Amino acid sequence: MSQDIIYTSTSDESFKNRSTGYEYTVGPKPSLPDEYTRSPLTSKLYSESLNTKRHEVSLAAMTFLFQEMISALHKECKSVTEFETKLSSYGESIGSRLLELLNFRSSISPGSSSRTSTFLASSTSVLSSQTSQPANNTNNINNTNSNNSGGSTGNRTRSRSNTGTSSKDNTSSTKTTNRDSSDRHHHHHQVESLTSQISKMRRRDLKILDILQFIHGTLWSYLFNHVSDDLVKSSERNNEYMIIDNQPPLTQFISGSNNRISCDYFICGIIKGFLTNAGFRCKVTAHEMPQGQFDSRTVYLIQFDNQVLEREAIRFGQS
Amino acid sequence: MNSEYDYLFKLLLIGNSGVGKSCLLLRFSDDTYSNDYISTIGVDFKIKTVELEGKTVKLQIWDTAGQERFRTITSSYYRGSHGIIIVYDITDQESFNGVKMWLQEIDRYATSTVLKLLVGNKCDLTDKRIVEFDIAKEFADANNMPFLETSALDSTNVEEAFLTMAKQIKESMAKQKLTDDSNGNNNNNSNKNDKGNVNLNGQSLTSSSSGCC
Amino acid sequence: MAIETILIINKSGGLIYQRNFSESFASKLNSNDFLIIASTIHSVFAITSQITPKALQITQNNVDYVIPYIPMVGMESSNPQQTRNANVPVKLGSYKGPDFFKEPFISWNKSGLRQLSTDQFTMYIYQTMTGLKFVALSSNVLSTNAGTMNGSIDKTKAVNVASQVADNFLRKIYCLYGDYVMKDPFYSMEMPIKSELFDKAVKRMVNNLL
Repeated sequence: MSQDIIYTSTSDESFKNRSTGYEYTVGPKPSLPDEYTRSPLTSKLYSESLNTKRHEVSLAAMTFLFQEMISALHKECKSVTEFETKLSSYGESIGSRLLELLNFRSSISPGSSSRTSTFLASSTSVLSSQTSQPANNTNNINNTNSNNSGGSTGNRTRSRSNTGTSSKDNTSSTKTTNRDSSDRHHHHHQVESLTSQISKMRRRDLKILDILQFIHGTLWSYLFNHVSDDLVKSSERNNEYMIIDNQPPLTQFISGSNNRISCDYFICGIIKGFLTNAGFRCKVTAHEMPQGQFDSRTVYLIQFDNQVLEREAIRFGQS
Repeated sequence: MNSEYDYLFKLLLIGNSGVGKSCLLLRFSDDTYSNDYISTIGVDFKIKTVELEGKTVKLQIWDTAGQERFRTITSSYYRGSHGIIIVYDITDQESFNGVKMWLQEIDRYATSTVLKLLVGNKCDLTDKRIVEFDIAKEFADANNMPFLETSALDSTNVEEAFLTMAKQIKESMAKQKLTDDSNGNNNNNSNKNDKGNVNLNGQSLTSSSSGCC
Repeated sequence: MAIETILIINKSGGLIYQRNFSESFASKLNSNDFLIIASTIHSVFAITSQITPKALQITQNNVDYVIPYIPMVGMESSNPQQTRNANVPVKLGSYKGPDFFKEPFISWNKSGLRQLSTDQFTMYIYQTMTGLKFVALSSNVLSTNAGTMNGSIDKTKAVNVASQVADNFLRKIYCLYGDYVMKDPFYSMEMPIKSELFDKAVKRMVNNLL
């Protein structure tokens, strides 16, 4: 009994009384906490703003999932090329989504959360001015948002006139709660500020270098919580660029460099999906290039289609 | 040291006392025969390395004691074994009757997917034969396991008994890892290609233009 | 505590990992010998778990199976010779923080063999909940002289501390196993471990322990 009081911080707490260890003829004695007695966690995932702060995912859980994906793929594929292509296509679907998400976030987030909320709030007030009840409606927003349960119905009635904005209204719901006073203050500026906000929004990257910097910085920080370790332009070929990761976190436990590199094609797929959906057709491959203390240093080689280079030359001239 | 072998299979030899389990094993692992009867105490191990489809496989055979008094210990050896060989003596009806009991033990302690093999030992003693081949064969078929008659003395079928088992285990493993072999080959090829075509020289862009991000 | 050999034995008694870390008696053995040693340890372990005195089994609740946490066993900073790397933070795979764990833990090895001491070596066994066994052979002989000098109580204390260090150390090897073996998609369960990453990590940890 006294043990329980002293060692409450032990992670093995749940095993303490139930487990008697490993029994030879039976196997491990049942001691895991009963899953069914726990109430399911309520997820905020569906109601959360797109512009929410970052969430950390357990690396262990992530790598276990990744491992299952790899072995499932490994079973159904006949050759390494097929394996790499399929794994890459898994990544592509992630990359294409990240292109939209990260562009959206970087156009509204850094240090300008107030701007964010005014933009979204103003979009609703444009609607409300069309229905000629501006003041009431802003109050209405703030009221419905302050009591969360009623928020959804409030949003639905407001966005009647334009169903396309309803999703934006939802995303704004958590943001606007604390700012009712300031919103009301700037209300008369809002129509102007909308246009200025849109013009201030991040534009799609059109130059190769810009979008590569975006991958090197923003995409990598989003995925791995740090910028990539280097971004290199090939000295031999014009259309080749390289993104370098000293210690790829997702594949760090996979033994055998050939195996590991094949698994890195998942990241290749993310980069490829990101670039192709932004209009930069390319091929991405992974290569191992150990350097110094980094044995698993990996190079993601991006080979752009010639048409991308030609387009860039026509649009922006040779610089 | 670890890289010496790719797979380690655990095979278990069970059967009544004195049916010749240890002799069978001695014939397989060392290709010798001894007429002396020494009762096995607890468990004895023999290891044989075989090549199967280009993979080095170590067969670790657990030769258990047949005597009743070791029964409580032997039951703990069933866990995790890949194959179990049940041995009886063709000149001893009692040992053949015991097979049923051994099957019950397997059901109780081993995994349901474990491979089983029934072996009638001492088939060189034809004049003393009591258990007929057909009866044993019928029994084996009814229990869904292959059957062999062996002789540790003149080494009939001994090698076959163990190798068929090893192959079966390897096959059941191979089903899980279909692409293992093709993977290795192709990987080597693609690696060669990599070195030929790809040039990873270049200059960093991050130091000069890091202000952008 | 100098580690001579590390063995990992799977739940069915098969040796799945073995490494020697010094030239000693152990390096004269071949792989078949080690397979037999491992399976013998497994059998002895099973036997010992059945000969636990009934009196002890009945009063088992009173036995303290909590192993205290000993900080930084086998970690980089525990070895003063390697402090030159101190400014480079060592990443511990999927584990956060400077050490793999930082709480005392419950031993799952409640009835089996935990330690075997001979004139030549001492063997420590850490068993996981799933029946996996991590075995360390240490060349350090628990000096009986020191025991007689300071009285018998100190001797048992020394034995206890050594076994606690070993438990902490082997639990960390288990953590490495969790990362570099279980998270490797190309590892087939219950089969010999061939990951060079795991090898490297274990080697580093053993060297830190010197």
